[in-house]
Amino acid sequence: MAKATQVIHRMEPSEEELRQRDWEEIESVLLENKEVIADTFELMKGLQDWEVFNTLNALVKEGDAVLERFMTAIDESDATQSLKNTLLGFGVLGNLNMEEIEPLILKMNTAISQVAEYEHYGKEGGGYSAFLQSMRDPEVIEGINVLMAFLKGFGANQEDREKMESREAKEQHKSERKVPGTRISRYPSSTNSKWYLAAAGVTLVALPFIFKK
Amino acid sequence: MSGYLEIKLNGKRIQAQEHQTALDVMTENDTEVPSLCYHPSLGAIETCDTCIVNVNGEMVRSCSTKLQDGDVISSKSEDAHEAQLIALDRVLGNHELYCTVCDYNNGDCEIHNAVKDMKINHQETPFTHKPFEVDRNAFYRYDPDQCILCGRCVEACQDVQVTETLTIDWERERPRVIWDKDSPIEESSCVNCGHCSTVCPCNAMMEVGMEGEAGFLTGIKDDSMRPMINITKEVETGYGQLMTMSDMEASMRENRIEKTKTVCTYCGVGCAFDVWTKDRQVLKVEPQTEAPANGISTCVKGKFGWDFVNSEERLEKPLIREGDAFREAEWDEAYDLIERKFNEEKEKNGPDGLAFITSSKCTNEDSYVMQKLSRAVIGTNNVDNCSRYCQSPATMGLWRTVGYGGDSGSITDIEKAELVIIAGSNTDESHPVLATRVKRAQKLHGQKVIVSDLRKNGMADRADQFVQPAGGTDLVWVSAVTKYMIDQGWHDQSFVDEHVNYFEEFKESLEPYTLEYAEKVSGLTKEEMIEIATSIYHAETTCFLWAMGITQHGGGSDTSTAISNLMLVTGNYMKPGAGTYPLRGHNNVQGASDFGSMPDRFPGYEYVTDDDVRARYEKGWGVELPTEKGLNNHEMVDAIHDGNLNVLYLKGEEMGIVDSNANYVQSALEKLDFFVVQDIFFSKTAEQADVVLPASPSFEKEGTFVNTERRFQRLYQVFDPLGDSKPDWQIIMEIANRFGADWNYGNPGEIMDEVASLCPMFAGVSYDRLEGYDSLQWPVAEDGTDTPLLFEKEFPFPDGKARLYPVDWTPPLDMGEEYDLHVNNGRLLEHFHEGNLTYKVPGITKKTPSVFLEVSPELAEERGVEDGTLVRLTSPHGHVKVPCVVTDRVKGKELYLPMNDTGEGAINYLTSSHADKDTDTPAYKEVSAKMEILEQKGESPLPRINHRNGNPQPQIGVAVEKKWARKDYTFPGDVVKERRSRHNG
Repeated sequence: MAKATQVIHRMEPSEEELRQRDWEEIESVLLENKEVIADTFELMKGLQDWEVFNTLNALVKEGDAVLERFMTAIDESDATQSLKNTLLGFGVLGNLNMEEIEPLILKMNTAISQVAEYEHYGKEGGGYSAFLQSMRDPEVIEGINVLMAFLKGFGANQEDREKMESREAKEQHKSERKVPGTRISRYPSSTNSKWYLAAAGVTLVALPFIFKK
Repeated sequence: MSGYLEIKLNGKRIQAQEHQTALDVMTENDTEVPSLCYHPSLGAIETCDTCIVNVNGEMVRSCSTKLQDGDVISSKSEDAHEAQLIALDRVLGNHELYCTVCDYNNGDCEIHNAVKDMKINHQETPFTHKPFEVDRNAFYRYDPDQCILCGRCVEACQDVQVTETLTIDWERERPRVIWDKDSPIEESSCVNCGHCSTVCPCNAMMEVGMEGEAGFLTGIKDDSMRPMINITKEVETGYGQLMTMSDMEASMRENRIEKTKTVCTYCGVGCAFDVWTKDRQVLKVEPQTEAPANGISTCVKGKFGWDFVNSEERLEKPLIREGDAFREAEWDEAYDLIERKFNEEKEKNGPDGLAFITSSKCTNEDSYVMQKLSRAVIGTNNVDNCSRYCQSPATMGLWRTVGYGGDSGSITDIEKAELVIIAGSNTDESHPVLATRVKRAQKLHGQKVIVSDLRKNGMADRADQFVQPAGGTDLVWVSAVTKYMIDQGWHDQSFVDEHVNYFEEFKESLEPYTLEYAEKVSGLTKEEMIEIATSIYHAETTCFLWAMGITQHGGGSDTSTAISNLMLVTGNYMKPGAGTYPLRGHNNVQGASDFGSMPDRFPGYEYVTDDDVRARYEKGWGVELPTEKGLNNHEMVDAIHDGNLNVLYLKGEEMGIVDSNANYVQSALEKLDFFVVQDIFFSKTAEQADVVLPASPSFEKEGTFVNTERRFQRLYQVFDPLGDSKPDWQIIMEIANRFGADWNYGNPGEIMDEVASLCPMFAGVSYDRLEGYDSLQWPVAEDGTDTPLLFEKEFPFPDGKARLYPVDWTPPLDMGEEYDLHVNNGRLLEHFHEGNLTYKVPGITKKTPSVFLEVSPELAEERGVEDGTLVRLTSPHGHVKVPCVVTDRVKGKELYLPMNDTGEGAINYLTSSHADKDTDTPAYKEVSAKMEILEQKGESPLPRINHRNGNPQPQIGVAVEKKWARKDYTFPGDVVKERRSRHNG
């Protein structure tokens, strides 16, 4: 004979019982992980000496505000460019073929040594004869050949692999390409443009002559 | 070879099947192309263009290109690849890639994966924000900026769920998905089934449970999030790095997001899905294409109705009554008390002084151990389950005629039937996912649908023919249609000759059921009945679906029998797409009875009175078993009143409210000497208990359910049991062991092994065979062969023939002229039963806060009732107090009171103890009442934001033609061709 009732007396463990239960749980965890805890404490001591905890505490407690300021600051500053450059730098390093670059670096080193040893004094105004004499030097001739090879590679179209140009700029280029005459195409779609490269290379080589005059 | 095509794919000769598309063939042959708008459960939508390939030299969308013999597919040609890139680039113009801080970055974002697979490093079409705000309700959100306009959500809403709320407005400068005629989500006709968020390929349509929770960096506040996204985009030097970073983050998420397969507990369809959880938090429910009953489908309850699992109201400790109050106790103390009281009663009055009621919401294994406790440990057959309240009459009707009490086939059979007849079933709300299959088949494939119901429910709204018979007269019109068809010679004589007995006797029994008689009794016109007969005659296959509107009557078993008789004489058994389908109400109504929680049957429906069967169980269980059948639920209540039953152990059942004639039941429970209730909540019934045991819901245990298709499916444990609660099987085992049972089940799989060893019908059922989404439909032979089509060669009677079973009409209960209004009752889509679970889901309760009474416009005008009027209904058995909604879903003096209340609006304060004469299932649908107005004016109980006030916009699919007709649209294949011709020209 039980009348319906909604009264429930909850089993409320005393403060002491709860505390005892918690302690027992903690104790068993500590005992199971004795060595890890010893190492952790050592590490934590070191971090405390360096004020790491205080810093992190402050950071965590003010997390939302700090994050917002940080993100906004980065978003509005040149920091994004630095980040981008860093990431691109990694990409560039990945693209370098060190086996092929090594001879170039060796040549550059030799060239730099030559420049270091070169003494301007007393050689000014050496005239065309001195220059022509140099042109007979097999090392100079080989140097020009190497330079020409470099220029050839320099002129190859790499646009598809470029990562730095922004999307908007690409769009701009694309639209400009549709209107002849607004911009020189960066696409070597016809052989006509190749002579520009040759001319540019020749001009570059000719620069010393011009300045010398 | 017939049915096969010889084609070439990227230079390689392969075979394809007829009707396959180029995309199907490529998928089968591991040739990948992006396909962002394509979903295997939705088919070709053709909005994204990313799957363009070259077929016979022409660029086409592979998803919609049906192959012909000799076709040559090239997916890797330069032009097709370029077209794919153009299409993907356009997609990226609509979707901001911020994967690392995106909640959808879980390895399955299809945009992310397509960008990665296609090795996209930059996009040419810049992403630009769309001029629309994010919209959300309590369940999901839509972010227009992330929406790629693939239309999957629209396709799912229009043609799978067929609620027809979503469209894409292609006319706008920036198209977007819209709800109704551009309503906010919350105010639309959206029923929150979740299809849209399930099929969305990205984070545009996403469950709000995921927002800010799924990722390590996604919980950041908006103020910081936007700069962070900007920075990510600014510093990214190509999508390769972004993809790598986000993939790493996605991998880290695997560590903290659990994905566990479970089976829904809200109805008998048996939807299975993965639950994504983080600690005890449900992030989302993710249905899977391979789920056998539901595929990608869910309803609002299955998709979003799980807050109750972590409710603070959950019972976490046993409760023991002390006077007029309960106190929390430890398990041992509760068990001690149960042991003592059970023993006292056994000694005093014998084992039949005790009774056990198991639940149709619990697992098969829970039910099995409950009946084993009752029979083998206590020694009584007084064991039943709550399918007694709903589906026993359907089972009886099928036993009589075809031998097995289960659906003839699968949901896929209903889908493929030419004709579906639905009687006494609010399928759209009670079995929402199953209803979608009928609605889709009707909308897209010309299936014919006939609905017979008192109330103009969701299915009636869409039916090809809708008839409204007088309450409780279905047997009459069904028999009249049967007689008419036989008289016309429209029955299937050869099927009858070969497979059916007693045709002549049956034909004779139909003599009284003339069309004239049926018209007089049921109110259906002769023309309506002839139209039904004609439809059955012309259809190659007919499925007959019914539910409580048929079974919960004084003649519920007989009407179920009449339905089966009709299907037999018309030859609508033993073939796919046909048969009888009593739609099981609870998730395990089928399984609870299948596993022996019945007073007269062991598992597999073998009689307890059969000496051979009993001997098998006695040997298996090592005890002597009672030989006489026990009491069913209904008889138990009477026995308590009579003083013959004194101890009751009830689990997972709100008996005090959901049994009919609630006042009578509650007064019986009051009389018990000792009453044990096992539940997850302190239910209304628990208020009357002596001991309340805290059980675990489906998310906290393993086990199996059997759905309406007779399909076994496994559920896996999502969470640990809350507090001190335990899975039901474990509690029952511990109680049994108090009586020296010495059960040692380590897990429910071991219980299933025992059942398989004892019950021939389930001989081949094992957890190994039910791994993941694998399933079995009973009967299951020892070698694991199951039976999707229940009757293939014969019926399970000694001569293999079905039996026509003559039945007579039982007129419905007449409560007298004073009670002038008929109170129909049943379910609502968004609430489950008395509401113990779904009222704990804030999103659902906000939209449907309480029960309400539907009143017809005619009656409202006559009585001065309007939306919000508070009325009292009084029947000879009690009264309810409930606010009204005026709607033409009901007509005349018909009222509709949903069952979703445990308080003053609970329907069973009105119902009587009158029951089906053959099964004692309460005649819930036979209740009349008088109405008095308590307060004329009041707030409508149905808030403006309820989906019933929405304005659906039906159309087929996403109307992609409108996209193609836009001036700014060019087919990417044509763009490529144009480029090529310019280049070459």
